[in-house]
Amino acid sequence: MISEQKDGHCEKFEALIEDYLSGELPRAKAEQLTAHFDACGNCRKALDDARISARLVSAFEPVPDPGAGFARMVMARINVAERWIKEQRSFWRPFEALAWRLAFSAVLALAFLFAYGIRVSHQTSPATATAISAQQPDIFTVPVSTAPSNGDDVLVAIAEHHREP
Amino acid sequence: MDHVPKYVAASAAAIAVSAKARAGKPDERELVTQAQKGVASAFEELVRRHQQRVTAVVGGILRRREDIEDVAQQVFLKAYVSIGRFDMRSAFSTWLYKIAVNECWDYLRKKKVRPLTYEADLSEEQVRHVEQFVNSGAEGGDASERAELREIVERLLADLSEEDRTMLVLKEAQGFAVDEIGRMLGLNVNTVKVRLFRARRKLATNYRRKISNAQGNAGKHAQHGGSENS
Repeated sequence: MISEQKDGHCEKFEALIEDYLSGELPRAKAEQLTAHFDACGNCRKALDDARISARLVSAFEPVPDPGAGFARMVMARINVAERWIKEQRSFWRPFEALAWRLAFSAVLALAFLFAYGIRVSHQTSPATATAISAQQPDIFTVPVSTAPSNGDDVLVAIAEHHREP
Repeated sequence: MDHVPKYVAASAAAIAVSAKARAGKPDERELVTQAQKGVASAFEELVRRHQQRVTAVVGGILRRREDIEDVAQQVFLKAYVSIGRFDMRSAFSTWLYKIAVNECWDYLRKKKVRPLTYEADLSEEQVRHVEQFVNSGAEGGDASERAELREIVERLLADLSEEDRTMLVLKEAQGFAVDEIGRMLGLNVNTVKVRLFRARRKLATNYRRKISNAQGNAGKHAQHGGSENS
């Protein structure tokens, strides 16, 4: 009867001890197992272990019923989720999403233009412009007071400028 | 009849469900069918019927009491979303418990809850407390003592795999049958029995080891105190 011993107990009784403890074993089989426990010290220890562990785990109390409000809470969460899904599936939803994207792009573009405008206005401030023009070589040697008044004068002035070494 | 608008059909079904509920408890299969058609009251009735057991499954897996109700609600939310795919080949409760188990594993994974490891031995007082609980058939004292006892048992369970711990707690604390646990975890009944047996032995071995360590430490302290006095 006790032929296959493993880890100090009879392996074939591993599954039976569970039924023995819960009283699900047929009477004849239970009596047979009781007789075996009387004769086999290792299996008796295994049965003791099972009883000790069952007692230890019983320290965890059964979770109580969450109460009548639970089902209402679940249904409320379902309603919220369904409303959200409906909103996501609405005909106008893609247009709404597109409108938001466009608005965001417009704001971004405006911000960029504004930043660019500020930068350009800083670069072309009067003081900077004077400094830049001071560094430029003077193309026209003709004084401003004698500036050409028509097209021929311009051509003459250019020809004179080229003639100079 | 073919041209009856959907919402009219749904409300007619809801009236039928509530009328049956008044007359007596409607059949679960019928409730599931109605819920699949979108009748909210039928689903609410299913929630009411199964809320206690689903919460027990969640409570058997999760350690923190404050998470249990939230995860249990999430289980029903998932069940509502996928009830159309339930083919009635198994019991509705089994299908629901499977969702609960998966939801708990997901939750533990997301929260990155690692099995607790306790290296320290139990104190003398803890040993006395747990021994008293095991040897007497009495309850574990007042609320704070029971909480301490649970913590000690959790320390003893730390060596077990998450699945073995779940099996033991569902069986011993939440009162689920072996075949129910098997269906929940997708395991053969015999496998569950054998694994339960081995988990029990491991837990009892841990218990005996902690007790003997604590007693050994107490002996050493007594010896040390005696030699100092002499």
